[in-house]
Amino acid sequence: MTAVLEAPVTEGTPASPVRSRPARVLVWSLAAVSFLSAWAVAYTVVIGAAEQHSAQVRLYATFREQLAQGVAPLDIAREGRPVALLHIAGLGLDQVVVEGVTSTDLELGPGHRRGTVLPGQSGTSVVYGKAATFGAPFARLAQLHKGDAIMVTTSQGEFTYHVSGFRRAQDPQPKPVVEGTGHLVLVTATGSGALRRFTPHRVLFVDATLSKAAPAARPTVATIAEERVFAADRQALFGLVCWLLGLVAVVIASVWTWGRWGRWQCWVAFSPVVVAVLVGASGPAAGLLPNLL
Amino acid sequence: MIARLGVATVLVALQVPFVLGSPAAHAVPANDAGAVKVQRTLVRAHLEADGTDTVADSRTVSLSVDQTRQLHSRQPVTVSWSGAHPTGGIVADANASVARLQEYPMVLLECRGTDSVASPLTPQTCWTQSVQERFQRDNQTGFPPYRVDRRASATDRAAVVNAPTPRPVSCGSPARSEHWLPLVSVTGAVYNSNLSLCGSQAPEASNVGGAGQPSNTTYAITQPDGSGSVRFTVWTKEDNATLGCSDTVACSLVAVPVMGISCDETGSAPPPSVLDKVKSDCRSVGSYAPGAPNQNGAGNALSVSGALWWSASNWTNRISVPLNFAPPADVCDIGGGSKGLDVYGSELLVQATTQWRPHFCLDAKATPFKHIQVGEPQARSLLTNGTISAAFTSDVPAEGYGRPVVNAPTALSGFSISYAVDDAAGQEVTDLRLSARLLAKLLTQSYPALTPIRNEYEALSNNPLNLTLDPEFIALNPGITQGVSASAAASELFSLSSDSDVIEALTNYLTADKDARAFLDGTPDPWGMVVNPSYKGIALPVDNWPQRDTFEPAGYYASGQNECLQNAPVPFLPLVSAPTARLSSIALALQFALSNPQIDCQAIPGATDGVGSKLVALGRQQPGYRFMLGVTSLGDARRYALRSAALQAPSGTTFAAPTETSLAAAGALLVPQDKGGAWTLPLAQLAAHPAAYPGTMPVFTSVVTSGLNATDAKGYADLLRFVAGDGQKPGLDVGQLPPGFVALTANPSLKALAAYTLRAADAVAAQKAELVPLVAPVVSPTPRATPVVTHAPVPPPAPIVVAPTPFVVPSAPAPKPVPPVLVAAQARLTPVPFIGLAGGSAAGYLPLLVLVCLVSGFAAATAARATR
Repeated sequence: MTAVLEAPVTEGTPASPVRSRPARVLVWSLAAVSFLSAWAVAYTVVIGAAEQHSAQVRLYATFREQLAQGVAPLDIAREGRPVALLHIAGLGLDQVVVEGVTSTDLELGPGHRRGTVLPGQSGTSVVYGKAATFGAPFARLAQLHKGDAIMVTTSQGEFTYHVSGFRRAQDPQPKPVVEGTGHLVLVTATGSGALRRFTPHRVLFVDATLSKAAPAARPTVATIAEERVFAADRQALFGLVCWLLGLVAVVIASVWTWGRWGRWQCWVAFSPVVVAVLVGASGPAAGLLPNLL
Repeated sequence: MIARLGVATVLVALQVPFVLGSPAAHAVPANDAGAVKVQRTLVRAHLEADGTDTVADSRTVSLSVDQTRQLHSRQPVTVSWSGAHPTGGIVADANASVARLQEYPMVLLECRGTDSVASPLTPQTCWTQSVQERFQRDNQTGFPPYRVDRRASATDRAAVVNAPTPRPVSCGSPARSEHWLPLVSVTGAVYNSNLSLCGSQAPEASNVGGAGQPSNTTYAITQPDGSGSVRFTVWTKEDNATLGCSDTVACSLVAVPVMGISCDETGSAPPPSVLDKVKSDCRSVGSYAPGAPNQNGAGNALSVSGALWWSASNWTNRISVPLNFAPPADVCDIGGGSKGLDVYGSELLVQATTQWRPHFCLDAKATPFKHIQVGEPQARSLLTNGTISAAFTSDVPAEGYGRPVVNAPTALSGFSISYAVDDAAGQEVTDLRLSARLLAKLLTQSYPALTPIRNEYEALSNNPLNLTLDPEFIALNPGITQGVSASAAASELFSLSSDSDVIEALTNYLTADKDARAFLDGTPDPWGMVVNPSYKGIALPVDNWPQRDTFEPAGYYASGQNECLQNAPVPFLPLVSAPTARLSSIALALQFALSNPQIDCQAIPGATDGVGSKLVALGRQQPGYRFMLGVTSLGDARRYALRSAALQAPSGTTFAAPTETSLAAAGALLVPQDKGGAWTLPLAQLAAHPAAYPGTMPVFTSVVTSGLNATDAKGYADLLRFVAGDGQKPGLDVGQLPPGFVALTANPSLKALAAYTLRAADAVAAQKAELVPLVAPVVSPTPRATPVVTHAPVPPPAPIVVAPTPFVVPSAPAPKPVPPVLVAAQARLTPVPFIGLAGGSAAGYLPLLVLVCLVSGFAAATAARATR
């Protein structure tokens, strides 16, 4: 990202009487790298959290209406659409679960893995959630205790799962699900060491069981590569490229006006546009991050 | 002198015992199909008033049946004969009731019971579809040919024979002569009726015929040279409960070569005034020349027609072949209840499991299993979910099942593009070649099917109306009627609507062929045909073929030619393709050429005009004018004697039809995939291996290796051991491998698969969450001897190649030694969604970015100050 931006940004810098041209390029390049790094951190952690919160409010409104009308999906939903409400009292967690577990889907909230039954239904249901960015809904999953209640609301009713255990990758599988009971697997990333909140690299599975589950609708979809744990959403690349093209256009325009309108006029006119485009590009760019992060 | 010779001949003929199947039939080995060949000398000799014989005709008929053992419901057997009287007054559909009017047909019937001198078969236990085939009456002379039949007893020569007593009023007053032939069911119920349908009819009589399945009674045509061949559909009690044939109720295939009635006018004593007419009627030799078509039933001579198949002269000439039936499909359900193992999945395997299942369920010590037929993707999904423990499948999810599962090779079979096609001369086509591009054209609904559709559908306006008019198809298959009446059925491939590995394999084949792929991507074929725009650029493979076309020909619908579509317009071409959910339904439709396009608007009985009409399938195609293609399993194609098309090698120039040899050749190319643990067919290599059939598909039994209780684990392990051993013995008996499957144990190149299944069985029995590593590939193609194919330019392509290819295990490279079974600790499966840390390196990006931000910010500030 920085490589693309480097050239236009440096060209757009004002001529300083004091410094030589190579020195100016170096200073501004470093400044740009620094700014973009700071921006990436700020976006995924701070702005992303705000975006996720806003998405949750919107999804909740939609899902609430669907529940009231009884039209909430029971088998297959479009990706990014709400499918369930997840309430974990022990963590103070209240989230709308969306369909799909690609990086882009999980930016909205915890995601239900397609191809598994919906939470509350008989069989194994799998829900992924981010551990560090975009509100980090599943950041504190490891603090759950065995027996803690996980409440799920779908159009089939309210279901209370109880946590039965924790697994990390390569731990043995739990027993197969008995017909008529439900099994919920919450999946997120976890790390180790002092910075574990920000350097998760292992998968954490939280198993929860439900003694009396609703009948399952047939899962019919095959999984795609983007739905694996720690997978990036390659489809986000397209959106990113589009936004970056927009960014280049804005930069070129600003350079063009710099000499004609004057320095401050240019700042006033273009800084909001640059920020807007940057925010736009950051969404797809974050989609290229591992989904559980 | 001549007369005396005649008497001698007749005596010889009468002494020939009823043929009970030749001695050879009893001597055949147990796994043989029990082919039977019998020969009889038949004489038509009239008895004169002075006691002498006049021999009108004498023929030696030899007849063979290709299979008489282990027959399944609805299975066709091929009956061939020579030396019979040529048939005249030909009716196109030999299974129709009207075909009885033909002169000198070979009448084939299925009758309950077997013939013996002590208890000969009677016509009363033989199935016919219509009353006309069992009832005769006469109001002219009162002495029709069957009343002056010299072989008929005095009772049979009475004026009214077998009429119900008391006679129901609805039957009307008797004609001067009436002959009723009751039908006796297996339960003893008697169905007897006349032309006014006053009596009772068998319940099945209304189920067959019309647009649906035809009756199995066949009035087959003998060619002018005296030979003939026809496929006769054998029914068990599952198809016809009145007849009730099964493995416990014996039945026979009865062939009645109609020679004409041997007359004895004197013995029946008709009034002298009609004697001459009676005599000429009975001694008629027919009014049609051999091979001449029927003129609306006019002028047929009753004496030589098939309608009198039951008359004593004809019935005496019968050749009866005892039939032996396989255990019925429900044999394992009786008393078994829900006990036993369930294996979900592959429809490809149905014919094999039909023969395997009784091996287990009839053995009290073995654990029976049930094969629950669902699409393979659904079975895999259920296996992943933990709902089931075992699945028959042809594909394996790349990311695994999320549970420890072994995929044990179970059978090598495949899909067949089966067809029912008649050529321009009305004869069945036995050799059809299809390219991947032709299949792509059919599947993408790129043929507009009907002229009004083509006129309105601009995108398809330059495409041929249907397959038979496509220059590519004509180049590959010359001599097929062009623009056949079954136009809609000739523009589609009858396929599946459900998720299936068969569709996955078929679309893999399409996309592996560069011509087909280019066509799908929008390149016109060399003759200018283009793909239907709704399928342009479709991403393949898919496991469910989408119905994408949405074009509604508004003008055609408004014209009112199809009331249903006028009232409720829907996209047209998806109605033509009308896919179905089961491969077996496609096999059934192809067996009887029941064409599937749902575009026939029929009034619902009793409803008023235009309101109560519905779209139904076009239905049965007229024999001689059939054109239908469909996707079936190879097992079904072999069981039901369907023809299978030869398919072009992907991006190659050769064609291979599915045979044991071509399947084994493809099997030799299978490569093990470490990811998921299964073998796959490398389609790209097939161009270099012309003997290999591109539709070949392996079927695996995927079984979990952890979490099963000991009983189930042993049951599944026993099943796998059986499958890799005795179950691979080809044959038709219980526990054997039916045609359409290649024995894994018989081919050196496939033995590694069977060996793997045995090791997988051990892992299943142990239930220690083991995964069994795949063996190294067995055959590398390098040492294959001379290529068997001549490469010719396309079109027209090279001839079909199914030449037997030797399968040698190459000396080098030697297969890698494989450790017997990997120990649990090492191979324990990773949990469900855990795939690997694909993005693990990016996981620590946050601290890294903060670091970069600080470092470059600091550097920038330093540099700025330093250069000021």
